[in-house]
Amino acid sequence: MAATKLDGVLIRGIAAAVPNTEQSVENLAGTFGGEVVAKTRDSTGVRSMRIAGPRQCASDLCFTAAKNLLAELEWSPESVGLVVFVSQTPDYILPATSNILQHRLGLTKECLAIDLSQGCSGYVTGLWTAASLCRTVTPTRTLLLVGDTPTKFVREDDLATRVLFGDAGSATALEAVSDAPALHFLGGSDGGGASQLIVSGGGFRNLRSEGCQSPWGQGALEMNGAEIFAFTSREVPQLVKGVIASAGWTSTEADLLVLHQANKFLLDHLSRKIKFPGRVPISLDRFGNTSSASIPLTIADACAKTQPLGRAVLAGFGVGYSWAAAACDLSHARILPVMSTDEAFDPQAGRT
Amino acid sequence: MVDSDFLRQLDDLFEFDAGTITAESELQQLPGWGSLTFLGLLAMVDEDYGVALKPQQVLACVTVADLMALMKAASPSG
Repeated sequence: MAATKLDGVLIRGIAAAVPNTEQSVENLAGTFGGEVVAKTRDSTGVRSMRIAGPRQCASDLCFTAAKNLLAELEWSPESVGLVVFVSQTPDYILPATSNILQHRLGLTKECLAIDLSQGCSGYVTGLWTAASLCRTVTPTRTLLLVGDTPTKFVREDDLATRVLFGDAGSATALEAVSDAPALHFLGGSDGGGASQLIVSGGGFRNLRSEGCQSPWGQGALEMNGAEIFAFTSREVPQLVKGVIASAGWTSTEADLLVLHQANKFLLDHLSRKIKFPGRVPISLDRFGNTSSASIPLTIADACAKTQPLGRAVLAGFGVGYSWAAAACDLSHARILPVMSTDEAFDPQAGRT
Repeated sequence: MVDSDFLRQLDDLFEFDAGTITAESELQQLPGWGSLTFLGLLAMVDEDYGVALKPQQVLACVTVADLMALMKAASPSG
């Protein structure tokens, strides 16, 4: 697996934002039947999720998280040199959403802005990329904005995805600090699993789909749960153990294991296989599987009241297939409580 | 693996009375077979028997006996 040890970059803060609108899974009983919804809820562990408004994008949720995090850290917009946006639900095909967010947040024109397309592993992949570039830009202050609105591409008649996914965004602040504890990353890719979790419409491979029912062409979200289960069961335990070993920690030296909130059934299975002795927080019961945002959302949900945090292992895995883990010290990170918002950007007016 | 133990675990997974499922039962014809029981089966076989079955292999099994043969062939201890 690809591995990186990175010195001199500090995680200063993490914030997460969700839409105001809450949907209880029980409300879907009318569509799918009460018994099957209850059984599925018991397995996935998702009781409710937040649903973005019709005009509300992942970038809007990230914007709210970023604005509040900048204020909390007392970082002026001029002090930020890099913004990285990670999502598979961007505002547009083009331009890149990171450019739009640079402008909305009032960051300078000298700021480097980059979009990355990753989902379940996207927070860690983004952290890896942002932290790697952080020391090389001036100023070094970096915003990593990670979020998704997967509820917008689930099919209305697909029970498995409708009772699972929710929307969320996040912001993470990084800064070059010479004596920061090292960050360790480990990850890999297997595009052989591409078709197992896919939205095949809306890109350029299937430009003119017959009988389009949605903006996503014939392909709304398609998910092969059994294949994804087999892949994660195979890769994630060794990924987590590997990154802990890379950091030179014993498993008892890590305080926190934050797993991508795929579903409760899978998290229970992985927890039994990994046998992590510390805390393994869960947020999917109230927020669902929020794709790339699930790790920072879980940190904000579980940890805002228990600052300061210590050593954490973060592991994302899924769509791609792709998987990535980080071993990091969150002792210096300000964690904000989860915030909720209905804000949506109006491109015509140029304001929220 | 002990076949009778595995059959009892399958009964539990499908929420049947003990003794309902036999080696001759057709796996994908069992009432309740679906994505949740499929995942439950994969997890149980992995955790209790140390066998990581490929979903495609399981779908190729007709009877529970086929599944047990697959597990024995893939099992480190036979």
